[in-house]
Amino acid sequence: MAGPNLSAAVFVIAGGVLLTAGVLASVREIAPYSIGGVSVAQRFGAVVAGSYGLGESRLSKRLFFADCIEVAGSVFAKAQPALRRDAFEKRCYELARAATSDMPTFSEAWLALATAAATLNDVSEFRAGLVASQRTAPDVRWLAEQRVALAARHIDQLDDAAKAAYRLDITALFDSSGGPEVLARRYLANPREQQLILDIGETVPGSMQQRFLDKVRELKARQVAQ
Amino acid sequence: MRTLMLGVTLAVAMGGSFSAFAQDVAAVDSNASVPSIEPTVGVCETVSKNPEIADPISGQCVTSTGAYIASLKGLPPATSEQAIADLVVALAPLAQLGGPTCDAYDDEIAAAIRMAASGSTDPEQVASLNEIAQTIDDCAVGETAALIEELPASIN
Repeated sequence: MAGPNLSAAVFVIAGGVLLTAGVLASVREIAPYSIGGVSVAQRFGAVVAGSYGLGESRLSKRLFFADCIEVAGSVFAKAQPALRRDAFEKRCYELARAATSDMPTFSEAWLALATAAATLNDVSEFRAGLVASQRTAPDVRWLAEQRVALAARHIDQLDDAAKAAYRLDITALFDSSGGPEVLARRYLANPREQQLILDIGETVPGSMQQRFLDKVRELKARQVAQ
Repeated sequence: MRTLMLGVTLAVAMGGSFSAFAQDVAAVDSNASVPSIEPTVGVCETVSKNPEIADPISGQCVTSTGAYIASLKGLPPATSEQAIADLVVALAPLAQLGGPTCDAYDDEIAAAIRMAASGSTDPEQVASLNEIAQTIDDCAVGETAALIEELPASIN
């Protein structure tokens, strides 16, 4: 009889489709964990090739956008020919736009969007991403550090809202674990940023000022000792 | 049974046809005509071990980089631009070998990177490579190799 055989075939085929879909979803989910530990060059290449994207979970998405942010700032990415670099940024941009549309409080996605938009000369998305990232995660040190670096690189493109977000991030770094060292490094490496850091430092409590100054002295002493 | 085997085979074939972690291949096909960057990187590493001989104007690292860039002439722009990118990626970390203090060796690495930039016809790549060189010149290379660019006078 054709009936039972046909049902069995449909069942098997449906099972095969579900199995394949499950494997694909697992691959997407696992990708950030396996690719995230390899070199910048490999992560860059995987993003450009499209073999590294967003998994289903929030954590896998965070890992992917962390790579969009950190890899973009690497010497490797900056050295690439413009076409290849733009391909990387466009993929991060598209996925970040989709993610922020679905999840408006996803700070890492907003920062990935801002980072990619800055490279692609989309000024309005750059500003919007920076402001939204700060608003949705004002106290996460790693994100504040990345936002400060991004804002400093594109200072001429900041509007009033983005400037305010930038200043809030510097203030947050004064108050965070590890933040004073980040600021001390920027202070020593970037003479033209010194006054801004000092201006904001004058508005924070004395204990935070002291931690910052201690870090500046420590880093300077390390440099002299080398 | 036969139907079940057919279904399993179909499922395995579909799953196996997808490449899990396909890596990006170079933007251009690698071919034997692209000179290796290893000799140039080796010369620059040798200078790093003997920084007293570093010279940002006519040092061995700068000279070797210039010769490498000259050897790329005649290649398709996409090929030469990728070769230049590969060279700069190899040279930039060498600036940190001597530690955080600035010295003539860092200046020669920066000069070599500028020399490499001069061989590119991609204006965005040229600007980016010069930015990397400037950061090394300014001794602003951080622990994570992220670049810390200079801030204009004021944000007010």
